[in-house]
Amino acid sequence: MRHLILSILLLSVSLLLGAQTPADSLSADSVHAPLPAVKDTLIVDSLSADTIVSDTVTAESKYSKWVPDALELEKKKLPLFQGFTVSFDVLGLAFYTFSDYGTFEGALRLSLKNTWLPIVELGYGLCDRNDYNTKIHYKVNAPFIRLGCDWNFLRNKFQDNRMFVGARWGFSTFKYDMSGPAQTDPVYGGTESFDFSGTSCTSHWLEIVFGCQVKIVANFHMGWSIRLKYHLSSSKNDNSKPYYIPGYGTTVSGNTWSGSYNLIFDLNWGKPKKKKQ
Amino acid sequence: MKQFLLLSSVLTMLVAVACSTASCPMDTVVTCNYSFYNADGEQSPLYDTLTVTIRKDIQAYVYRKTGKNDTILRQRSTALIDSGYTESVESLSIDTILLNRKVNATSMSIPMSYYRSVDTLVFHYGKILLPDTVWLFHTGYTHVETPECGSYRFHNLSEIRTTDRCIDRATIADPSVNYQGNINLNIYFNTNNE
Repeated sequence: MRHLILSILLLSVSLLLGAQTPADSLSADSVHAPLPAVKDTLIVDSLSADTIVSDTVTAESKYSKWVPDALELEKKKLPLFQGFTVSFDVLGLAFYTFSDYGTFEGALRLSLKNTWLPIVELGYGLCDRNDYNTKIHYKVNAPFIRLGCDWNFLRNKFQDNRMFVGARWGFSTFKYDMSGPAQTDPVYGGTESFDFSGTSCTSHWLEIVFGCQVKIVANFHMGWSIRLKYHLSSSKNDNSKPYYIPGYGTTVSGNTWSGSYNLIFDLNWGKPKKKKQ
Repeated sequence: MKQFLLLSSVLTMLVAVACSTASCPMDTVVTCNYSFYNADGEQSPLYDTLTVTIRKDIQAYVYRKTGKNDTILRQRSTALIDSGYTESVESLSIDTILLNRKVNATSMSIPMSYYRSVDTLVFHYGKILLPDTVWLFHTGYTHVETPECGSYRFHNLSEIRTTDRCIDRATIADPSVNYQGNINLNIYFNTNNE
């Protein structure tokens, strides 16, 4: 599992670095690289939605001094509302296909200055586990919701790629079934099996998120995130505690971690259109 | 790039902290734990030997044949039937020892019945001829921590009654009987038995 996550991590970092177009990669860091001291026509057409710079300059002298200031300037000019994106997680589906539990989930994310990204994640968690050793069966199917916000920490806010950290508050209210084989009293004798059907539970948790997304084509992006999850509370029950909380995962320890691999689509509802030169 | 490296490092540490195994309890024996006191309420050993027994009903196979002693077995024997014995299934009450001649005991741990509402314990002493009887009223319930850890039978104590040959009084210290090892019952013995 760790190798899989590591592979995804490396693949995505390479994607992030490799999928950028020359104009996309015009970040503040990259422009400090030595440039050929030749006169050329420099067209910076993806820096700004509003301001297009087209000039004939000496690249080394003017370009390297101008761009960082321009980024800051254009960042201030960047409209607050930068549109919505919807995304769907495929890793949860893969988990459900190859293990006892998984999720079907999607998200709606708002972009504010392409820096602050409030997000609502809705999903449906499923678990149907029969432990091989103890023969205890656990089953739950229930929806969940997560609310939170991401911070895109890439310096160039005009590109379509994002790398972010964020936080989520998760909530799910559900009913689970747990049943098991007969318990035999070794001293007094007697045998009975148990069946806790429809046990109600409400759970809350917090998540710390780190992830990125890269533009693949047009309005389609792909990205991943890894999440550290802290279980806050669950309803108390004498008989059992939930083994799997929809949207959180298994509760075998106080905290857990998981990931997502997202297919992301930009929605252009009300988003300011780029001016063309 | 520096931000990325810093965040990657922090994230790696967080993930490392998050990795852990199933937290199954180390001690999974569910017992009712007793602590012994003298009549003045001071923790004190019982200056005597203590044996605790219970009487329980078992199902037994009884084989009878004219001119032979009865044979009682826990499991069925076809060999005896072939030898001409008659077989009957009967319910018998037998004594089972849960604590055997413990000397100067300050505490003890006794398992509880899974499905009975009252456990009847008999305390036998070395110096006192007649035993004490302890009736323990409780409700049992199944507890599952995680499916990997299996199921356990926990109990809630509701009442304790005793005879008073050596026992002065008994109280419930903690009604929750589980595998955490809390003291559940305090037994106060008469001090004149020292």
